[in-house]
Amino acid sequence: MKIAVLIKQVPASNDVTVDPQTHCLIRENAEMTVNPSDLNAITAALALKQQAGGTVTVLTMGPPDANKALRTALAMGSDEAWLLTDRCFGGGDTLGTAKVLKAALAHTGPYDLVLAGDASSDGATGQVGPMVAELLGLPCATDARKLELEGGKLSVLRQWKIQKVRVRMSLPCMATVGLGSNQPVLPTIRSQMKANKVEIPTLTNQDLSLDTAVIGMPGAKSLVTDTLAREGSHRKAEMLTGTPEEIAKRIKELMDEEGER
Amino acid sequence: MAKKKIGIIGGGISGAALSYYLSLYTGEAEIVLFEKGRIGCGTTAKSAGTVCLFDDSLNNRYWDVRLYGFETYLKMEQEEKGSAGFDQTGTLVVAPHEQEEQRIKAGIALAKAAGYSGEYITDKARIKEILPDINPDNILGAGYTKDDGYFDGTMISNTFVKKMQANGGTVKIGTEVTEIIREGDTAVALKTADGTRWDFDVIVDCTGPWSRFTGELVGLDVPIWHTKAEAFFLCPPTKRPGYVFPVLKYPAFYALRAGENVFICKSHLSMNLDDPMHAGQWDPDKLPQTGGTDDYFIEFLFEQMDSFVPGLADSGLVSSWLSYRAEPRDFLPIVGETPVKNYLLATGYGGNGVIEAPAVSRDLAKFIMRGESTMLLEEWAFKRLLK
Repeated sequence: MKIAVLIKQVPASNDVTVDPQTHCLIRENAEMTVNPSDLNAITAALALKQQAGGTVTVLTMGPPDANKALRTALAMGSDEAWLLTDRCFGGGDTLGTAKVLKAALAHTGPYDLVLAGDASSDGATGQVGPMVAELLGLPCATDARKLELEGGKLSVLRQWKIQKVRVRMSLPCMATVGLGSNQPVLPTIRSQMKANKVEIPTLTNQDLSLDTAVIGMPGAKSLVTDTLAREGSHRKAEMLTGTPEEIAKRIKELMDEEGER
Repeated sequence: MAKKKIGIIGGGISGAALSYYLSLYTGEAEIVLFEKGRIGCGTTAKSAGTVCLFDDSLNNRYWDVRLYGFETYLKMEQEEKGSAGFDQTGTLVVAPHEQEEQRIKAGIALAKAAGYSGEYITDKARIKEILPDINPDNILGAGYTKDDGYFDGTMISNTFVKKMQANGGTVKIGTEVTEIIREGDTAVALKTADGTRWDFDVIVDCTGPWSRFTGELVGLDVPIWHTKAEAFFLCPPTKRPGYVFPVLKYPAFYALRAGENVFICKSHLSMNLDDPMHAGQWDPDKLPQTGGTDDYFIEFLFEQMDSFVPGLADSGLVSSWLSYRAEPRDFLPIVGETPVKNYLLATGYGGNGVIEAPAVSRDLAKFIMRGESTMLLEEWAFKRLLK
């Protein structure tokens, strides 16, 4: 069974800045990590591989340093990794990203199953996975909590609002895996060191031959016009120290200040 | 008699301890401690906090400093359980070669002289009993004591500050010092980010890795470098219920338990100040909360584990962090007077702040309040770096 997992490298914390002109995240100085629900997707893929045999291939679109995320995936137990990187892929919307991923899956596949995290922790649209499925003409189940192979079909227990729903899909198919749906596999010192030495192949648009008018910034159908801080996000936590009396006095002051607002 | 006004910049272990020791001069000192973040939450929070009786990167030459720190925290813990975050795991110090063996044996003798337990073990089966993950074949022996372990630098800093406040001192949390005012060659005041001016008789820089930037505020070149303290939290592949992982010391790295995981870090004496991968002058404000470690560290860690502690080589990598240790070129702190009058330093502890801060702060407080120096202050004075 050939499984592909689409992953994304995201900032490790919320402490990131946004370019005031393009409204894109400035990632250069941010510590980056694998998108959390993608770790669940990789873990689900590795479990299915253990059940049915085969290979797990991870792909990510991003700048050259997104290799770090791929190396984590390899250290977790993935078999191969591809980096999709080209200036013309950057600055696009979710559809542009999905087009690049679809082309890369066609180039490196075919695959029996494509998995992705259900949403990224930075963009959080949850759109890319289903868009890829649509472009590939595959059935897709979102927010999967459990994936099992049953009689050549993929059985997916998915979260739908407050209920859980089970769907069965013929292969090939796609699923997006929910955050926290499993305990992500940890890389070990040994496997991480091995992964750090792997030469990761790169695909550029020379390999994928996409029309640059439909991807990246020129192809973006949606445009971020502004970014707004979530209401309340400027709230600060304050550690109250001192004697119990001093702390009590400060709490009273804070309550009075709140009352005056 | 007018109180001596003392401003302390930095609320890590250095500033917190100094503020407390100054506050013991009852009615004589007016102390204000400025911390731009929270108490004990900068480099101190990323300290390993191991205070080992007979091994540390702090040389045996300063064993009394280590003992004073250890006993200060033991008493703190006895006064209020948890106030020093003591985790008495014991320590296993491994001797891969003869030179190390001699050093450990001297440390054991010193620990015993102070009334603590300590033994040098050459029975490999016994060493494996203490640390089942170890490879005892490539070592000569190991020193072991059950009496010491880990102290929590953040807890200790907060306890010191709490005691200082109880003695009448003031702490300004979330307050960044943005300007230090000189009159001629004398520091006389500082300004905080809200524009407030604070006049002082003495200002002490306790900002550790930030000291170069703090020094610039007063026109002083503080000769510290940063070395990288890269740490990993490992999830061992084998769970051993009831087993206590001791503080483990090899010359190149050390490890200790962190809940069910193991914290592991490269020893600061294995850092080369001339290697740009190890040392440089960076901005601690740009450090991420987690991550930031270099790939070379994984290789280093694997080589060390594979060779010395193979039971941990297949541990899961749970998380990692990077912090900067502040080090002068001789790896000793810079304490006391500087070329700027009334501007003092208590910085450059290089990862040994938790161990050294009590003895240094005790002596520095006496110097500030009475003008009396000590042998320790003489050896760790700024002027040694001007030679």
